[in-house]
Amino acid sequence: MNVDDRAPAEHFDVAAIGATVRIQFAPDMPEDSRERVLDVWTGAIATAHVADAVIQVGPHGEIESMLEHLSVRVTLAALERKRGQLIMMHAAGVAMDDGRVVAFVGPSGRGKTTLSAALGAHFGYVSDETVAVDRDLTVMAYRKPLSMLRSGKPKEQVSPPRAGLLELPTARLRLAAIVLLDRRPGVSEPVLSRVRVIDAITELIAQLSYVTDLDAPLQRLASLCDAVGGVWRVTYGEAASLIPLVPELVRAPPGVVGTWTPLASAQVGAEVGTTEFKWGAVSDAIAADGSVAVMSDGVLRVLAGIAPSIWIGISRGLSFEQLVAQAIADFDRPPLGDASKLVAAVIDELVREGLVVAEDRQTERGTL
Amino acid sequence: MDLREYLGLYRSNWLSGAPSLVSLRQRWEAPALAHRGTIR
Repeated sequence: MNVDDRAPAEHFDVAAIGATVRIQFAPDMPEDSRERVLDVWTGAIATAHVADAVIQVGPHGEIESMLEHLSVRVTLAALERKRGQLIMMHAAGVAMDDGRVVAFVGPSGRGKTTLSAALGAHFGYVSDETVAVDRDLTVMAYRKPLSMLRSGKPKEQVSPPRAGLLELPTARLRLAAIVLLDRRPGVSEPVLSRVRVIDAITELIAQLSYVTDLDAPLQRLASLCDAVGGVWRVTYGEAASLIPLVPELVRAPPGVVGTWTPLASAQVGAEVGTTEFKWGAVSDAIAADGSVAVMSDGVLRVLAGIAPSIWIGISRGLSFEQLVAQAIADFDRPPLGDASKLVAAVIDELVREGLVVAEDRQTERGTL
Repeated sequence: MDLREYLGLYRSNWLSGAPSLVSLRQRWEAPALAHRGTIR
């Protein structure tokens, strides 16, 4: 930082999920505007010598709108810099004194900033926007300004100290709990429940940035869920009601973990199946609790019903007749209908979804 | 590995508490695709 008492700052650096983002003022930026920008970013000032990204800020437009836009630009620059390295969750995060962090995951409008304002007065403020975690569970803080709603005006950007939020502990930050936010006005007492791994991944993945840049993203996410003892959902009404839950969440014994199976990585991307059927192009897949989650072409699909049995059977080289026999072995005979027709219908759907490629002979079989 | 174990079917039934045969047979009537979402 090159701020001193004699000259207005030309730039300063902020720490955002482990990246250093330089905020560079335009030469004609008034000094009071520079001071305002610096003030709202007080909680994130970094002292690195090298910046990972530089953002130019000019004296254009209304200051609060500019500050709000600047937050977005810093966030996007940091996410871009860390893509493929960290799991970056759209989440509010707070830290206990010993460095254990609870991440509250939710989309915009689910109350993350309100939650940060309430919890950050009791625990270290990690972020109200993005909680990023490395393979060893180390959390990278992003103590950005909070966007506070004001009636009839642009949101006001408020620095963490001004919002009364606490500093981070000196201990290494490490993720201890992941909580999916389910805010429902009128709920007086918050209710915690466990979320099964594929359900957790399905919800989490919608709140992650650059997921497809991760190696084996589903396996990485499932491992993360295990490492924190399983994912929670909290149904709550008021942000303040979650304050007593933070210590409980980091102390809670692990839930059911290790219940998922990676679908052999050697199979992914290779020619998998028989001459009759093959897997389509798949980037990652896991099985858990009778379901299969598959990532393919930037789309996450969860297979259910008898489809997991059929899809895995195809990877094992089973013929159509063997797939039918396998499904009957797995699920007993169908309550209604013909097993062969039901299996054929599922294969057709998997073909339509691009998860299975059928030889011409099979795609033309029609009423198999 | 047994496919049922591989899929976690035993755990699934244990977790849901449903009688296993009924629960398993219902899967013939369940949609093949429970979720589809584009990843950001």
